[in-house]
Amino acid sequence: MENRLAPLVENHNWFTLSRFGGCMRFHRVKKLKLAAGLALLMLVVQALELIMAYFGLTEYRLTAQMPDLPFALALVFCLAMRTAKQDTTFLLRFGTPRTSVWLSNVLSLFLCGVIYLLLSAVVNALTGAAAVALAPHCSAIHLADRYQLPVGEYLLNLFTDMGGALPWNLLWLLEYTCIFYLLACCLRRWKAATIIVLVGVPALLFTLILLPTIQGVAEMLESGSEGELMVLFFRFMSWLEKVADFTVENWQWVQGAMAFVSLVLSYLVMRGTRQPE
Amino acid sequence: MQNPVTPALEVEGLSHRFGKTQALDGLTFAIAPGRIMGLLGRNGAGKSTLLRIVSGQLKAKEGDAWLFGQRIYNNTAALSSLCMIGDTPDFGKLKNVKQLLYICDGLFPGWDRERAMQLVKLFELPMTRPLKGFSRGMQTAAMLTIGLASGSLITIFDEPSLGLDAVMRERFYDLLLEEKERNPERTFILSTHLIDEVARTLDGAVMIDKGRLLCQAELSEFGRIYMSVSGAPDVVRQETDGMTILKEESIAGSLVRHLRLNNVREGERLKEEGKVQIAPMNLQRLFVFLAQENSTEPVAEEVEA
Repeated sequence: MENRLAPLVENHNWFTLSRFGGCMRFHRVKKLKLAAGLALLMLVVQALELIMAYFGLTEYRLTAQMPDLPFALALVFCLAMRTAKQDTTFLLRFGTPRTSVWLSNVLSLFLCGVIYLLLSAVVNALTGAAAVALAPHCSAIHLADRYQLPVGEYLLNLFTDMGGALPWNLLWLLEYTCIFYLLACCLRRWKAATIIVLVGVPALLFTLILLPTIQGVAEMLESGSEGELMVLFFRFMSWLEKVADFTVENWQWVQGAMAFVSLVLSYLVMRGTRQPE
Repeated sequence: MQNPVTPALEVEGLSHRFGKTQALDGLTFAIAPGRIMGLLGRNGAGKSTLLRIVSGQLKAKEGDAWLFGQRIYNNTAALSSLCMIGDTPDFGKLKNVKQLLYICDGLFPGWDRERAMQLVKLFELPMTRPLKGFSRGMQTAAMLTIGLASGSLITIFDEPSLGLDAVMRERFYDLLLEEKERNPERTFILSTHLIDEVARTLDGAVMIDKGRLLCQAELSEFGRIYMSVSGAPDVVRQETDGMTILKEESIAGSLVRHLRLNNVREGERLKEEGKVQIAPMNLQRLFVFLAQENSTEPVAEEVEA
């Protein structure tokens, strides 16, 4: 039986057939300029701060100059909400396979975060170098002790610090990209239920665990001796310490596992979400 | 002998329900490749649900749908052949036509850049003006440009002429026929209410009502089975005795009967005898008669809670 689809499938690779390339183009057009624009805005703000300090209008303090991870996470969070709803709807409406839409969504969010992170590092390095260069001539620009160096040495130290922090920053970014995208997919599919879970679960934990504990301690305070209380307190502290040690030692694995689970769940949630009419 | 060809679109026993409403009820039909087919149905007939399933936006609860023999839902190979142009223009908050075309170039494997530029000129679309400032007609024209230039083996237009003025509507139908001539392998499905308007472009039609198939045929086939017979009342009654009467009208002393023949020979006989006047029924009237006939049949549209 003659099948007119066969030549199309034979002559193109998965990248073209799945429209993944087109999806990534769409995300690039929509997200790249935003990340670059924000970095530019950051540069302008920091430059203004520095100029104002140079003319003695404000004080400028150069402390830790690192990539701007918190803002990168906030950016990814906001974009995840838009991507899971508006962008996904646009791409699916043309009949794009969900796998490529999902993959491009996650990848574009992560890349956008990475680009902003790197640009923010460059902006921080530039303004930091300018501050180091201007500090000897301006009393309103204050440098932390470890930055009171010549510009070249300052930049060398800065890039060494940033290089050490970058893998961890990227891991954080990856983890939170997956979590935020899962959250956005859940909000799109089950808005009320997701909000209830987000608010309800911590409230429930608080009610079920914390309140009885406080109540138990209060009762012990009333009835028990001071020695018993101290033993209980030290036991609790030692348990907390073990949990903290375990988490610190295995943090990269915890993050990796969280990212992986969120990634898989986000696909399952997105795959079954009904497209709006 | 010609090779049998895999249907461009095939649906079998497709059923879907939203709450208590049965949107599709065991719908079955197939469309051969290389045709321009009309998907005709009243409001709430199930057209949009069908199109959402066919474009992979919705998973059917019962039955299945295939594009060129491949299951549709989340199937890369099947969906690579499809371009769906919905009735509500959605540009994903892109800025202008230039950006839109750039993205479509990556989305559709068979995208024709030159053709897209020609169509932009023909529809008089400004390349760099913000899309959000476009009139409804211009937005529709931008979407039609995508559909025509996509080069997709199967292209679906849902209410393609919404917002277009008469000149642009005619231009679109001409371009559709031109595109079909340029690329005979392409299949087009037009879902619309404006039946008379699209009739000249169609090779055939699929009519659905209440989620079920009313009828499906090539346009030439419709003309051989459905016809309007007029003449002296007694003669018309005598000659059309035993045939299915869809509607009967009296016009200026003549009796007009709109009929469904039991077989093609009956039509040939009426023509040969020449006792009555015979005219082919237009597509819109035929659709109305069939929908009315269907509405008198008891249909369990409302599913018990």
